[in-house]
Amino acid sequence: MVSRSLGNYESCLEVRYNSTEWWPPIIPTSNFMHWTEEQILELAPDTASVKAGKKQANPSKWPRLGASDTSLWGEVQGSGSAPYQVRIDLRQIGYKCSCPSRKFPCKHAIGLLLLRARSADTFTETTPPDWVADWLNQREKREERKANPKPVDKKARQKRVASRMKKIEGGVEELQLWLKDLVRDGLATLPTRDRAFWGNTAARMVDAQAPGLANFIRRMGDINYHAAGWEYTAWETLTQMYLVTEGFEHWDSLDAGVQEDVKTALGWPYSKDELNQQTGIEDTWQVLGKQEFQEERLTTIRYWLKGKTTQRYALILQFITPGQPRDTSLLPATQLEATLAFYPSNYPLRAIVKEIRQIQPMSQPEGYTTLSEFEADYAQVVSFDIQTNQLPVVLSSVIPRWMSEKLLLMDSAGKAVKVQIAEEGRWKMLALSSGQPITVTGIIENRVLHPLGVWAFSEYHLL
Amino acid sequence: MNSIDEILKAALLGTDKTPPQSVIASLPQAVQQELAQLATEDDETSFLQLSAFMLSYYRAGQEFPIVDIDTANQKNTGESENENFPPTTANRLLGVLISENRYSLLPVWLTHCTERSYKIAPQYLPQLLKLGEEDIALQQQLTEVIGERGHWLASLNDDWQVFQQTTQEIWETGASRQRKQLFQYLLQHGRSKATELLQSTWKEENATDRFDFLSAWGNPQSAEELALLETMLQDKSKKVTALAQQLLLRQPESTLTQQFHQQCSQLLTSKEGGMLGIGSAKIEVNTNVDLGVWIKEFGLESESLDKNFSDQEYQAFQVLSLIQPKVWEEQLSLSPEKILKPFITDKSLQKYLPAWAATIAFHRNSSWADAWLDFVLASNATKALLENTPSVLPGASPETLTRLFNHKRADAILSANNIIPLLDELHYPWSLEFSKAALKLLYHNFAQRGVYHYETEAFMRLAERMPTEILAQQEEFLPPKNEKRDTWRTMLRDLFRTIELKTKIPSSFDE
Repeated sequence: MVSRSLGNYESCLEVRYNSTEWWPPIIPTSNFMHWTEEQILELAPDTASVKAGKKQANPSKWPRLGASDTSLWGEVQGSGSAPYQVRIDLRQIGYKCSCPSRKFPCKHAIGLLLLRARSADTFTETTPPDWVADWLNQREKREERKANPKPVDKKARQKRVASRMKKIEGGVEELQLWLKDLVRDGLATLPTRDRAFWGNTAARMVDAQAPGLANFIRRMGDINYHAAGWEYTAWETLTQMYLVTEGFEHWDSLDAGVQEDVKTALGWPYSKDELNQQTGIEDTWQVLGKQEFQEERLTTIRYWLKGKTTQRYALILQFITPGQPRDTSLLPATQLEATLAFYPSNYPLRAIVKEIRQIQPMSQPEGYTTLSEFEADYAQVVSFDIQTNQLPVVLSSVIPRWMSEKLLLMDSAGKAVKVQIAEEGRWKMLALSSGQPITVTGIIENRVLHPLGVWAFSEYHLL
Repeated sequence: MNSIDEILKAALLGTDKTPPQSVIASLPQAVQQELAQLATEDDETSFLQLSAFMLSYYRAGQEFPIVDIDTANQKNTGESENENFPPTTANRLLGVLISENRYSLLPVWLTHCTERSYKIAPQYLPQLLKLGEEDIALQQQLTEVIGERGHWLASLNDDWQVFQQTTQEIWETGASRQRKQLFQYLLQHGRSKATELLQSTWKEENATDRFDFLSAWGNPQSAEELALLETMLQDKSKKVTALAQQLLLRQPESTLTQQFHQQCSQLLTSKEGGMLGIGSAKIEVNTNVDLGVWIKEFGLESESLDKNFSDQEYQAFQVLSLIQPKVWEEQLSLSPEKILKPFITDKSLQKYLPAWAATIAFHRNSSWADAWLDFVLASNATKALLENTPSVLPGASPETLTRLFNHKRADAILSANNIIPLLDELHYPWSLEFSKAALKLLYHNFAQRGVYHYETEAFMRLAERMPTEILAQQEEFLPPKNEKRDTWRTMLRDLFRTIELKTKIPSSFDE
């Protein structure tokens, strides 16, 4: 599993997925009543929608409001003469609104959810009208169809795999020569290379059906060669590329897990059907947080999860192109009774959600009590997979310290990890701790923690 | 790690200049033995193999640094709070107030929080401390409820040092803006302290600050304050003494007022009109009274600036605009209506009407303002009367204003430009009837035009005075469905949302 910041490489793999097909079938019940406003606002596609959604959360705008165990609905007066009809499926969060907005969910859907959280008593209707019931039925039928996919043509697939392997072989050979040239000339020549130098080689890797290698090259081209420490980043990336090409050359001698990691690094696409054929891992998956990145017109959302029983971590990726609706089944600070299917890897981290059975408010996450414990596990992970740069972590008993304009998290043994966080989150973390040990979740990358949330006062606070 | 540094140096120069063997020779023996087992075709491959091998070791061996705990503990230990946080509903409501920028309701929420001896929940501390950075009134309220945790947090941030300071320290060392905010806050929440602080530094303040503080201090509230104000007549600054005079003129018991009224009491004379005195009184302005001393004392004009007035008449006009109207009720033994009437109806006296409007406005005399508005609402109101009415309105009683707002003549007096400023001045709690009348007036003027951005803050402040019952009436003020008028709809909904949230604050603490 390759996981690094702002992965063009991930985009290459996943952009083909339509997110409405990507997400799991059905959730029999959901505990919407426990959602906080903060959680609801996490569903908004952008900050403008947050603001607009809040404005809609005013009962006076809604001449009609209703709620059942599985749905919410309402009519809201918009700019048109007829009110807009808004409906929300609570089983697996889904929305429909008759307004012309291209945003998803639209401000009316966000407003309706906020209104429900704030003033449930204003939802006087209890039986869904036809326009809600019909929509809910359609959604159920669509999910049933998705649960019975077409059978895979194995012969055709094998042929495609063989053809692709051959092309990659050519690309790998070319890349090895290219790497040797770089090593011979020395990395000191890299700052003088123009964009075409990187772009042309990357394009040849794409032609060789190895988009993952192309992405490595682009990353080298994107390094800030004026910033201190660029030498290490360039050397590390170059070495990682070399390892992938060596892995491909010695394919047959590799363990199955390592083969999968090499495939992933090459940019080999995985079929959702293949993943769904796995039994999957059932657990209570805690949604620790999400990170959102914008790259040109593509939005990448990373959801970080942790299993309560298995203590495994999981990364769920979602890719959204303009106009494409967001799937909002995964809500930070909740926990899901769910089954996840993991991408094959020596250290399986990336996963898809196969099934969600129930959503609840999140309970206290468990994790490492000292940074030394984490170091030991981290060493094991990187010995499995040289390319893993980011690892999720739950630190159970750390004290945030504000020292010399830097935020550190210190464990009981005095070890400290530097924290990178926006100002507002920094003070929130310090306030929640007040100098006492707390549980912090986050992502560790290059020995720096990027926090996701804090467990304090019997509640999970997103940062 | 030295080995990695060696590899990086070699990588920068390239294998042509630095053969990998020289790097390998500098590595630990165990690593050299491992690398010796790998087949190599050329220097480049050898270097790449070396890199791959060492990268794994380097990454797996990374450790977090140990920080000196004693040093860390020196400043960073916050006391564990007693966790007496407000109920969940109140907390959520606070979150809504902050996220929806409804800062005008924060003082209300904080007052309830203080009364119940709760401490702010930690997750809201940073946002509230940030808001308090620039708002001393909010900062003063917050100091009561942020607890040890909040004070500890504030100690870590230079921008929040104001939370570490006492009232006295802010007064003595704060910026001019902070001191004025503090003074304003103390006037509302402990006037004696404000007066004490003002007296303690009065001589050291510059003229501008003395003027500003005195303006904020306003009308004296006790005999001691009156005595203090009288001493300010001796101030070095003319601006300050003029302000002190104005404030004293509003106090019937002040020596200045009593002397002024005594010497000017013959300015108006009257004769009962009609049979048995039932008809209109005949009032005259006595221009023979010597007003020179007061013209000089108050810095008024001795020569007329208006061709309709002689110099004596103009002096009388100016003095009339300062004398408490109530004085004339006693002096002439006539009601406000009877005194005002000739000035409205008698052409020779009409030119003094602006002086009456000015004195009613200056002294905020409710019965006189109401009497004035009775004439305005009568069928034969003159143009001059209507023109001089706006300044009188803030002093009128809510009942009379309700009648005016519901009257068609309101349009002739109030324009869209002065309605919101007028309503913003009416700080008392509004009754349902008054609120409805005010909203009707606002709807009439703003549904079509919309509320401009610069007016919105004052518009939203109106919510603080309106009663909960108005929430049930909001449909009355929405335009018909076939009319868009989006700006008005948005503003009105925002106003009602603020009222709704304000209403929820007390009960949210009862959970």
